[in-house]
Amino acid sequence: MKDFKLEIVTPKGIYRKVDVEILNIRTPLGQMGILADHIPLATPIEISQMDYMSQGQRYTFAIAGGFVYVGQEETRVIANAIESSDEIDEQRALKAKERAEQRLKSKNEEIDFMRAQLALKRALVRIQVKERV
Amino acid sequence: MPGGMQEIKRRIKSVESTKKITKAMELVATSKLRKARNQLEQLKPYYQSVSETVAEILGHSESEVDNTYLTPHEEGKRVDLIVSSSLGLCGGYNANIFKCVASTVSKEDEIYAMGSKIASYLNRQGFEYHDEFIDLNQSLSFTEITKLVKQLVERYKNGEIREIRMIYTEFVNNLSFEAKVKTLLPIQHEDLEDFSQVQKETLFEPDAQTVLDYLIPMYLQSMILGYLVESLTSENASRRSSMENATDNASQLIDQLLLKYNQARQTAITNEISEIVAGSNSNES
Repeated sequence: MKDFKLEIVTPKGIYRKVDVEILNIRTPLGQMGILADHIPLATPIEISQMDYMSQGQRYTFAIAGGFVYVGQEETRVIANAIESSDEIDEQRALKAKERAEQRLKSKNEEIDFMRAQLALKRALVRIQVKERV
Repeated sequence: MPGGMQEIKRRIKSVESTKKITKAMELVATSKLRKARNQLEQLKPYYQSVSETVAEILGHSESEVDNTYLTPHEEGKRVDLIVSSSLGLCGGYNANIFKCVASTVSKEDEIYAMGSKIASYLNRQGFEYHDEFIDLNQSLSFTEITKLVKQLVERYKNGEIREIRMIYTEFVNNLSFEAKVKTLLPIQHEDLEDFSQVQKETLFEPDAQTVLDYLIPMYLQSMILGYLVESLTSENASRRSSMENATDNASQLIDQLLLKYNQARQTAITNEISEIVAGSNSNES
């Protein structure tokens, strides 16, 4: 299969720069697979699981929201935060999940509901990515 | 004059210990400066990717999107984000920011202070300011920035804010830095001209407006983080060079004092000799 260049950048610098065969992401409109020679595209990425195939191997990541820009020369994923399945600290994710769930249950007005929901979502994605391996 | 000599000796000792401190501070600032510069370098690809994409979207689909982000608002407040340091002993770093603030910020503006030095300056001058993000100049916490940007963008879209500016210190090189005022929103055309705008058919999912609404906060986050890191770099560079000067001055002062001390010692010896000579002369006669 034809390769294309993928660059993943985060506020902490360039995270990955690889040649990949397919990039799978989840956009607000649904799951999307990007192959080489895709037409230029710009779309947000949900807090979700993301994966790509490189030299026949699949790499899976948990992405905490971001943006993808498919250009003619390369495809760029701009992520707020991203972790590969090896980097995820499962204990931390489980704790974060519990914390978020508790927050959502308590009917305290001061709690930012949206934020707790997003935190829960991030934790769930991390756990899901970790368990797949 | 043994009394004078004692005095000089004490001063030499005190200057020496001051020199040790300034030297240590210089070393600390040097290592912090290196760290901050690295961070600045690492941030660049992110910042550039975001700006390029924003430029591309605004550049080629001007008709499709409503241009709230590009056109200046008539009404609403002006918001200033001001970055200073939280620690002193960094040369003219804070003074430059204060000067810049005095000439550009008015009392009607809404001010977010980032750094305790600017907060106390604003207090003295009788300005009102928000202090929720006062630690941002040191923590550089991305989550906090996200929170701030979310608040600001929402209010900007509601028309409560007409302009968002950032006052920070630009890092030119290790020895020169400049306090700067930068308009974040509405987006300035000249910021986007740096990027070659290729006019091609880009597909926006779900549509250009949604993508832009999503991208603008990211753009602001990266700009704010970038300027914070840049200010931190300037702060450390400024501290390093002023501590270097202080160390040099201390060395000079020690040299001078040592000369004085030796002179005083010599005078004392000469005096003593002449007293002895005078004494023996009077005995002889």
